[in-house]
Amino acid sequence: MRLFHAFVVLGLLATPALAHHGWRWTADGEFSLTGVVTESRLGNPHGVLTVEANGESWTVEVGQPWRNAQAGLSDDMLAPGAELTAEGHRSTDPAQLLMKAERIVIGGQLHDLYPDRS
Amino acid sequence: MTFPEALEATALAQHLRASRWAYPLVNAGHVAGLGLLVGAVVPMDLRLLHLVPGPEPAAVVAFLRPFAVAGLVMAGVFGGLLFATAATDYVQNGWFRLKMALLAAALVNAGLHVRLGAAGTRAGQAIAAVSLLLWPLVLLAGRMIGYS
Repeated sequence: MRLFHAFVVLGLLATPALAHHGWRWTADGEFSLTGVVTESRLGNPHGVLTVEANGESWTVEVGQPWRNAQAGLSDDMLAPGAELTAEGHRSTDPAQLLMKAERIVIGGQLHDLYPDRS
Repeated sequence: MTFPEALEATALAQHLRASRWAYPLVNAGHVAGLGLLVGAVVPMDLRLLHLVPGPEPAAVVAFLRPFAVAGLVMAGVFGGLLFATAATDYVQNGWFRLKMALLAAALVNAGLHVRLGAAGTRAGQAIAAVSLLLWPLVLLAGRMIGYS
């Protein structure tokens, strides 16, 4: 039965320190970041952009392909060189230059990734 | 072009990467496979180690091993598809590398398990214990990839 206890401990260890799915890892306050895309990894399970803003290199999580498409965002629009503003929530850990975008603004045009989220 | 790059460039990987339904279904298939694998391995090894009561260990192994193998094949096939969608990222990921090392060890041990596992010998017991430890560790390392 000692082995069962070992499994319970293993299960507890598996509890994620940082989950990037969902919103529970993000801060409550709205956050906005304007910069230039330097790197773009789009695709399932979700897209990841590197955005150069105010001399800092930020990681901006965007949607999976269907969500980006639904918001009117093509892969080209999120490609390196693109200037954009990402609005959403940053990580609760202030040491991390990491945010998850709810909306992307390109050239004054709003692209809402989560129209059902207020 | 390296092998991971070539794999990512295949039509299948590109399709999965951009798909709405195929990717989550493949993901679910991977989870179902490893659930079946670990779900068969744990009771099998616990019985081999006489840590739980039940039918004769040899009978338990005969019954559960095909499920473990089926789960392993499922997890491997669907896992390979998931890997293809972002192979260049995965090969550089520390948790992924650890998982592959643990998987290799678990597979070698599984080979010994097939040969000696049901024998009830001291060696058979050790193999069962290692199996009971390694497969959940493979699962844990795999899960951590998503949090790195």
